[in-house]
Amino acid sequence: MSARAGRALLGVVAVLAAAAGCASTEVRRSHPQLASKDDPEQATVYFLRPAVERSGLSGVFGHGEDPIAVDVGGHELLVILEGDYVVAHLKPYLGMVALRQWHTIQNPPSPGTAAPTASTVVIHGGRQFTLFGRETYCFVVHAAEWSDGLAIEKVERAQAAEFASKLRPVGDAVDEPIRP
Amino acid sequence: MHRSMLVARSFVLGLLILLAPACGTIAVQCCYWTQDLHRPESVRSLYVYGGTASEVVIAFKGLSGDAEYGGGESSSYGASGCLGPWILLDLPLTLAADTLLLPLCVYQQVTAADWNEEKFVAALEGRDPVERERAARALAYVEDASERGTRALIVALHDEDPQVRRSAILTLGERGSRSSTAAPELLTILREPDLRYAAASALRRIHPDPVAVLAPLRAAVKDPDPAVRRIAIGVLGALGSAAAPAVPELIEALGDPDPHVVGAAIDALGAMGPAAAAANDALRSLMERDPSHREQAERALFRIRYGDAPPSEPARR
Repeated sequence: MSARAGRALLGVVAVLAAAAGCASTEVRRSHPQLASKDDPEQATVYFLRPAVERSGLSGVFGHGEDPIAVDVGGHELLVILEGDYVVAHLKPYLGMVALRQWHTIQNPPSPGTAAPTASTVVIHGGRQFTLFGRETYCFVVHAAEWSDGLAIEKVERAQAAEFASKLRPVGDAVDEPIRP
Repeated sequence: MHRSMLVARSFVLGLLILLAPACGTIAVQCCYWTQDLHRPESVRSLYVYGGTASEVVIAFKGLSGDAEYGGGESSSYGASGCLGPWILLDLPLTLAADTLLLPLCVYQQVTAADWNEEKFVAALEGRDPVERERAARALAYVEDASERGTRALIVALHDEDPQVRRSAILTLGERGSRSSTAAPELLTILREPDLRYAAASALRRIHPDPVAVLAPLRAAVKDPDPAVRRIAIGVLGALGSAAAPAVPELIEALGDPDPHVVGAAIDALGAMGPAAAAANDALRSLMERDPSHREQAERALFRIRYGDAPPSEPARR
């Protein structure tokens, strides 16, 4: 293998690795709203993303499978995949919890075109929440039922624990699972 | 063809183009001149008489006038879409005319502008209600605003013409804390349905001395008219922690039969921050009995507990 081909292969591997990194559930550790777990005035916030059953049409319809980014205070707090749940310890917060999701639409080749085309759209959602210190909150993120957007809703801890029993804890949630 | 004939024809053609009704710049400029806006005195007062900076751009409306005629739609100048060929010829001329006229227009306005408070105060005492109303508006923009101007505006609050009164209220608000002495007069207007919202807006902007307004505002929270109650509560909220003595009245307002008054009371308590801590129990009780105000009360509780400083972070993308 020539040096040039080697560099090209290395580049491809780097791109694939970066892409794989983007597509995993993860809390951004540098987020300004994050608090220490030991801080008495922190809010414990769980984000759950239940898996959606699809009748063998996975990857064909809708945007269900793409990662969802959760923004708090205008900065990306975490990325969550379907079937995962995470926990974040946040400073008290009053403001928008926003959702974003990039969805790539594959267009089949039409007569006269050589290859299928693809375009990326960003889907949004979110609402305002109030997070007090010393409290625990559970939010479920999912595709909105009656629109093309995304939705986030607060659920009781017992209900969240029931959801979580079917989900995969990621990060700190492995050591701090939701308990009813 | 004889050369002189060619020159003559070119001259006639050029004249026709310039005089054609399709000439956007000429049409607009005619409008400009027929309204006497070219006179130095008028140019000086463009800002006052509602012209503001949009009049500067008037020179450039020639091109858009051409575009309008070219689109085939009739316009206020009586032209129509049949002028297409003329417009094509006119476009470069209009562009040139616009380019020359804009700097002239800007120069006129900059050099002729004269914001003299004395002049407007005198006009505010004149006979013509239109002039009084314009003078009241103009006083919002004078840089060296003095107490004399504020006093003249306070007198104008009692003008027989409602438009003059409205302009005086709005201008007092525009002048901010320089109008703080107008607070007692503005408070009396809260009971007038046509002017109460303008007065409330002005009261929020003038940063009145809380000592001067707290007593009448606390009384207004118990007014029989729900609109007055709501507005008075809103003004109390704008005073922030300085309105803390009114917390008992606001707690009482949480049980008001009018949901808008309740909402205003919740927001006002939240705006007071930690100074409204005495309302915590009442807000929690409201959250339990009234789901429609639950989130709003939750936000107020947050602001009472943490204040408005971070960690509450409103930043958005």
